[in-house]
Amino acid sequence: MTQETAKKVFDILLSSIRMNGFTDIGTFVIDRTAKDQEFEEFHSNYEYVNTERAILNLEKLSSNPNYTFYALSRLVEAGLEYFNLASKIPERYAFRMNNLTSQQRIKYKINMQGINEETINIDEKLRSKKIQLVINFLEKIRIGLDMDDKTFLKSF
Amino acid sequence: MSLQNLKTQFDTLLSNLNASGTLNFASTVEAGYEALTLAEVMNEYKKVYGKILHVTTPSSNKFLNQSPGRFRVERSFKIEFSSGLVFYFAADIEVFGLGALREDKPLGILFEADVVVLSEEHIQDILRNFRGFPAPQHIDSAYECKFGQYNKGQLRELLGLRRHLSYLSPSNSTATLLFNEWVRHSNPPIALKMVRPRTHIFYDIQTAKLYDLEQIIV
Repeated sequence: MTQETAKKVFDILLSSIRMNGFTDIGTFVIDRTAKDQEFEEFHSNYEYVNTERAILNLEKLSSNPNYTFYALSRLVEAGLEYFNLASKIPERYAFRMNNLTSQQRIKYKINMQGINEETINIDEKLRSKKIQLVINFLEKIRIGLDMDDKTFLKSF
Repeated sequence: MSLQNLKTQFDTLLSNLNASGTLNFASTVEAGYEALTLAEVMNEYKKVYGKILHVTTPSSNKFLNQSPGRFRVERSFKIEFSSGLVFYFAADIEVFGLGALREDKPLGILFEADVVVLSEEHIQDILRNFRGFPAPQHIDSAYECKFGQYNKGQLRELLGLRRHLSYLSPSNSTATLLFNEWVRHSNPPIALKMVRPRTHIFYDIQTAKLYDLEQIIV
């Protein structure tokens, strides 16, 4: 992928993420572990890198040709982490529930009571195949980073 | 495919996730994460209190509420341990603060807590005398769950919840060690944790320790 295409793809992803209310992905851009000094001490230039700031920093970085690929790769990895973790919540929940007792395995579900007393099936929404489609899309971009532009665009 | 089509495709995939129902995707994830935290907390109590004799599950598996409110027995998990102790585990509960503790009455404003653990011995008091809203004297532990957004306001919110629930003074706590931390400076000795899927800078770590606040990863 050329740098110009990488920048365009970055802008496409970020604008869709913002437009559709998925900026939570930005939290998964923040460094996993803080620098020791920042973590242990409270000094005058201490700065929280919050979700919005993480996205803005990444956007700025993407405009620097030397870091465009890095920024795109970080955004894709953050998206994959967000959607993979979200889609595994029902399975992890059921596993933990079954872990409580040694009784027969039960298919535990997550339901929510809505404001109008209706039942919102959280479990079903998080098990939806629609999430897998987003994950597949992001995985294609991850692979495409190492392809030429033509092959990359053909892969969709 | 052109880049324009690529944009259309990604837009469609994301908007489809928000398409059905009353909750958008981000809120759905936050709700699911509360359920996962609740299950994790129940497993932690199992580690601490030993063998579980019986689990009573909420009716229709419905224990999350779109708007937080009163504690209700039928919307919570009840666990009986072999030691004889019984706890209730509930989500999206509003709780009274220190004024209600001091006067032993349902007084003052309510703060929301994502996950709350209550000992069975307090349940009748909560339901009969506190209109279903637990006060500090009733609470064993509480958890704030944040899956997606991370910002400074959340840290202040947790600090606010601590001051709402506990006095800051050396604790002669016999409170149980939960998630490898004792409650050392808070009275009543309520364990209070921020729950996230990955570690983030937790404001000044020394202050956090003073207030018995910590971050756990679920």
